[in-house]
Amino acid sequence: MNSKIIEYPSFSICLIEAASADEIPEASADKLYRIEIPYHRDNINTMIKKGYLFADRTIGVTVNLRNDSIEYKKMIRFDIRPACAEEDDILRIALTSFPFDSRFHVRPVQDDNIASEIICSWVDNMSGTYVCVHKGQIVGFLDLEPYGDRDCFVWLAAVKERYRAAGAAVSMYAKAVLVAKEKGYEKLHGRISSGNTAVMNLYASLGGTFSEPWDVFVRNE
Amino acid sequence: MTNLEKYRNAFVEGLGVSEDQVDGLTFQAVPEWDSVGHMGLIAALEEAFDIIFDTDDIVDFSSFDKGKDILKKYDVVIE
Repeated sequence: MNSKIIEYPSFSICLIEAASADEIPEASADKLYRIEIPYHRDNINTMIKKGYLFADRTIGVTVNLRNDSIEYKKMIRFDIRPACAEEDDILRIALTSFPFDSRFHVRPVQDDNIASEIICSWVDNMSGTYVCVHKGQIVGFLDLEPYGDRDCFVWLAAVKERYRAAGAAVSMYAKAVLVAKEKGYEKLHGRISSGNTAVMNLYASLGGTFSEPWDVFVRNE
Repeated sequence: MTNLEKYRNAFVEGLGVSEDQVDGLTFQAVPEWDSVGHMGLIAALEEAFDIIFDTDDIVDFSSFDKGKDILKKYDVVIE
């Protein structure tokens, strides 16, 4: 079991990753929790007894970067480039793009204040960000981070609502694959909510394969 | 094939929808027309009419009917 506590200005959250629900401690009322355990049909009942609620089921996705059968360049219809001092624009997009995301919404009730603090922290920690630009305006971003010795990981990505239909996300992810290939990575990974079929389809169009469903739990209140 | 037939066929092939779903179709009205489907539709239309859309028009292409207006800018009349 891996466990760490992250301190924010107005709250702290205990992040736990474990191999099974049996390893998870009873919830303490003075903390927020975000727990990830591999999917198992008994998880929900076990975790409810310990004071948690089911929040999400996420799926891992992997794109094999050695695959040359997909013409990623043709999928890029927007200008995608490394971010350069555009943190404010990126944060603005991030704060409006994840209204239900369990990475940030860690209470069973909607709490945008807590979610915003977590999102701000995530954006602050991004170091491999690309932005999607249309007519001089930042309309989306994607952060790509190293993952292990040979792979990379899509840490966070979002597009302004108006441009989601238009292929901005497809352009960004296709660009991320090309960048990852150029950097010599072997695989590109992501982890997405099983409810986010739009991103699942997007990864599938890039040749992604899916695996490792994990269940996410938060403390019941 | 008339332009209308080519246009309808682009929706069928590009989105993977059936012929009877095409009329009046709008973005996200069917699961097939998500962002990935949209790029497939755009590619199918570009191939059908030998054009390349401006990014603005890709953004604005939000429905079967709107698309007809957009194609007029490329001298493609759908009737």
